[in-house]
Amino acid sequence: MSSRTDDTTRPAADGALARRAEALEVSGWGERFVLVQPHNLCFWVYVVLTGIGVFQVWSFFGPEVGFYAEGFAVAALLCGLCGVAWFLWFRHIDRWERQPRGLVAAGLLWGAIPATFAFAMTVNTALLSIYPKLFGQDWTASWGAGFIAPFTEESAKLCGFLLLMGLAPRLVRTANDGLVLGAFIGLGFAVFEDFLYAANATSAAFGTDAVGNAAHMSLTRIAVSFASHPLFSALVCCGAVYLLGTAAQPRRVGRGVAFVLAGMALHFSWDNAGGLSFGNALLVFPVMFVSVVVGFTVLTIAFRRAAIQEHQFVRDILAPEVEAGVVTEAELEATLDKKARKAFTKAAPSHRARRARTHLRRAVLDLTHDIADAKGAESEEVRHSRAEVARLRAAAA
Amino acid sequence: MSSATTTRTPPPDRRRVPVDHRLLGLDTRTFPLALAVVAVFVLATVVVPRIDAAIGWDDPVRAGERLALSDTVAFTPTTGWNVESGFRVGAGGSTVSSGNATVVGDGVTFEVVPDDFDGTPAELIDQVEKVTSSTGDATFRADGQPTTVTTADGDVGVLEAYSSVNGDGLVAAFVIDGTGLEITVYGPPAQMRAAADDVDAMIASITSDGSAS
Repeated sequence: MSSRTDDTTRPAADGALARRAEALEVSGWGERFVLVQPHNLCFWVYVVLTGIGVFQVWSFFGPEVGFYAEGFAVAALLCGLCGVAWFLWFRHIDRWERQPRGLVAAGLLWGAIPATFAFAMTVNTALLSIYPKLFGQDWTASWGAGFIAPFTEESAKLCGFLLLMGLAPRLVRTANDGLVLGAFIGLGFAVFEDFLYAANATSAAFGTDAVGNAAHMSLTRIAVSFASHPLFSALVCCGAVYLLGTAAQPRRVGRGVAFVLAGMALHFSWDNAGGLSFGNALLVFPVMFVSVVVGFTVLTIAFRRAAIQEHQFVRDILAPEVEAGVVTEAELEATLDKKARKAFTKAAPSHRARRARTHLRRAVLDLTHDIADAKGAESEEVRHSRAEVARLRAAAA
Repeated sequence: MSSATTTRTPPPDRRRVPVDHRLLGLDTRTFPLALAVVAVFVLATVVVPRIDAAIGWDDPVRAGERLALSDTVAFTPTTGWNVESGFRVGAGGSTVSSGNATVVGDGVTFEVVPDDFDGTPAELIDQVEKVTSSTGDATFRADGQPTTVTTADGDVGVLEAYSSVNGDGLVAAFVIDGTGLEITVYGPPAQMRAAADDVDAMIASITSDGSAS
């Protein structure tokens, strides 16, 4: 089998190879990410603002870390575990062009440190002082958070995405990149914001139950973490890609504005659930429920629209493989399309074959990624992935 | 030099910037996004805080107004002092109806922090000193002669002078129906002396009537 895959795939038609070459050029799939780029001003801005964020973190927590060490440790553990769970989920759904680890790490770090501590903490504090001066204490208590965070925090997170676009212009260029990287930036922000809330809670009750209050606040934040910064910033960053336009994504101003506003509006409604329920405690939960339903509906729409382009990249990159018979049309469509996937899996003759077909779809994507990593050339990894496709096809029959 | 070496494409981080896009060794094509981020940063951390500093407080206490510290505890701030934080009893229209209160007048700041506390006022003073000196201000010491203070309702608390490199002042503590009240008063010495009667009146006005908010 392996000799077949090694020897019979070479003579792909020029048209298919041209499709692949163009898709690799336009998509930037397989490009590696390098953070340290001394010629790139985005790199220096990233470094300086991260440094400012680290300084702010130390200034904020440094004086208290010794006294509340146990409470901080509990908060870090709980918020960290929640973050790890979400991280694994986001990596799982990042299936088309898997974002390079370095890029993901840079996004997480931005959300965690500069966005939270260099940007948001300072400007939020200032606005929380301005609003009561202008509109009174009661208005600020009801509406202040919702009229601050969607502007300050979303712009802080978006700044990180813009820097990543500047650092990796060939890697960050599709709406799907905006959704995935935006989610990771938001995740970094959410984990550190949750930790910040929990750390502040250690001083509640005059510091007499630091561990208990930190644990309680951490669990409260975790309980509502499914509708949080990753959701908001995924939509905002996706919208930014449509707004700015890239080599892979023609500018779509209307759609871009819609997604940016959707992310901000969801942030507003989530933060202002109390205000929107007009002081009626019974209405708070329905308001939050509606926010969640609308939020995930918009997110699903965004992912579906973004996937169209990613699917085309996969088809183009695999075109020579389809022509050579390494991957069949049915396998390719089952990898990309939900209906085709169900039909493909259902057609399997046995439970064992159904499992093999699931693995086969994953192997087809692995082959796509290995071809992209090799820039369309032959490599040991590409040959191995072809062999894997053939092996799993045999098991799926 | 081998031909392999001469034709190898350098990685993006090592690639020479074309001369027509080079400024001080930097690639000018990276400027728009980087400068946009710098602009947002300056707006968020310089412009907005300066606007905040330029806007003064103008929320004076009117005769008869009280600030709610919890659902059941409130106090009457001095008329004319500015409310910098706090919720007026019976104001309504807010999702939050009680909490920390800060009023400022005649150069003196009067802060009240209410929270759950299970102990005596003296224990609360000790806890406040321990937390403050171990966290925000290592020089904080409640080292004056503790005195007993009593509200008009008869609730008994402890008042003590404190010293710190950030300034000296007074710290008082009450525990009313399971709610601890940490009261901190600070300002220049002359203003503190001038406002002593107002401070005493505010402390004495603390009441627990079961329906503060």
